[in-house]
Amino acid sequence: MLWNNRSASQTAAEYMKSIIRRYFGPGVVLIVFLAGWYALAYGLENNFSPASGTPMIIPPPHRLFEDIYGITRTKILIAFWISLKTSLVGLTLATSIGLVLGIVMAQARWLERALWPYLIALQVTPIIAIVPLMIKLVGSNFAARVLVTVIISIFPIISNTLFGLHSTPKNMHDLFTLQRSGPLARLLKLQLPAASPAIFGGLRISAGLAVIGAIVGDFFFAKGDPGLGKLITQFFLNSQAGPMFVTALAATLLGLMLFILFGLLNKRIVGRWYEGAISQ
Amino acid sequence: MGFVFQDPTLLPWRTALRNVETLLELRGVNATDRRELAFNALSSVGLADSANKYPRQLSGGMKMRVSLARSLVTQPKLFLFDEPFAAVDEFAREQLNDDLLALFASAKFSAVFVTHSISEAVYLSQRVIIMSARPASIAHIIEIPFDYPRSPEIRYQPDFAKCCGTIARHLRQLQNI
Repeated sequence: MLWNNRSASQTAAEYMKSIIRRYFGPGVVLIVFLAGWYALAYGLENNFSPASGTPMIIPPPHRLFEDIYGITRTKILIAFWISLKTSLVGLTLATSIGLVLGIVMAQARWLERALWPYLIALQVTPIIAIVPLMIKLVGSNFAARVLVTVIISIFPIISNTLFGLHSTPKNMHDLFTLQRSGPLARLLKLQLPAASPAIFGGLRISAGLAVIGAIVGDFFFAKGDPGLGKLITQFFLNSQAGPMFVTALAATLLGLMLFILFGLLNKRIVGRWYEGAISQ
Repeated sequence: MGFVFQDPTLLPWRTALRNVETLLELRGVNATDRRELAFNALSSVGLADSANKYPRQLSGGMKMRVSLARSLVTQPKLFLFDEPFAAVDEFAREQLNDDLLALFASAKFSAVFVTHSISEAVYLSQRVIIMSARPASIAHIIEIPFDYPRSPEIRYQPDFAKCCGTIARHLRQLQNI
């Protein structure tokens, strides 16, 4: 009995230790971050002087949610939902198109060489340069915002798919060659499974980019219900610093949600067998 | 024809059982048949318990057994072994040699077995062919006098040592040229 108690308290201590080890780092960073935020909010000249006629530029953390009620809160929730929709639709399209392009490019070196420069061009072209073209072609609507999301988030999926397909070990290829396997069986039963850890790695990066895409799309294409990007602009123009920061936080939350979602998917599908699988 | 590589070459995303099924799958055998054949092959190398484990959960010797079962399942008449047990430790290697002899006794096949271990060559073979390097050609052919089934005890018989000695001498001569 005595022994049991002792071992129980020992495991409890072990457990506490693991908790501390796990949350100590993030906790310290959070405290430093909040301290910096307060320093900035209170250090900034005229940050709280209604008398001067200028509104607050940056609210301190505890005053962030002061104005979040009623219509403002509803607006943020709706914008969150719309941006979630835009990024998910965009990400789904980017994943499908990216996978197909990666697979196509993996089939022949000349195809890979032919397409790379244009994909890089697509990745680095500032969206604003093609805004007029897109308004002409698809309008200034949901479709245009989804398109921006696709353009911004597709690159990691293509490059990681291609990299994954190329890095299938040679001895596994030999195994399939001895069975005289065709390219389709090789792709489905060998290359794609072998590439799946790399593809999931790409998906995780793309998930974050898709949120950026949905918000950037809002800046340029204004028709339809406002997403988080458009709402941030509105709050900015109305000098509503609190709601603006909260909307930005909502965007962070959206990105985090997608990142964790794909992390979990990755763990479920690839984690069972892949030795290098990244934990949460 | 069966082929066993130098390394196990298992597909890491498939369980042991699904790995053994791979070749049958590529040959278009239906799911129920291939599952049964694969399970039997896996049992014959003593891994029925590990059927649902992934390669990363298996030891080096166990992986090699799965690899062996994967070739076995296609019931080849001729087996080609390319130094299959080179990477496992001595103890596991002797165990695998005995397993191979047991398989050899139960399923009839011919085998060409490439190895750098003299005792492994003598223990397994009816005939040992010594190859010379550059140009690769047959230098000597040595008949091994032991009958099958063989037991691990023959390793300690004088004739066994004599065979090993003969082969070692030939190999030394080849290197001196």
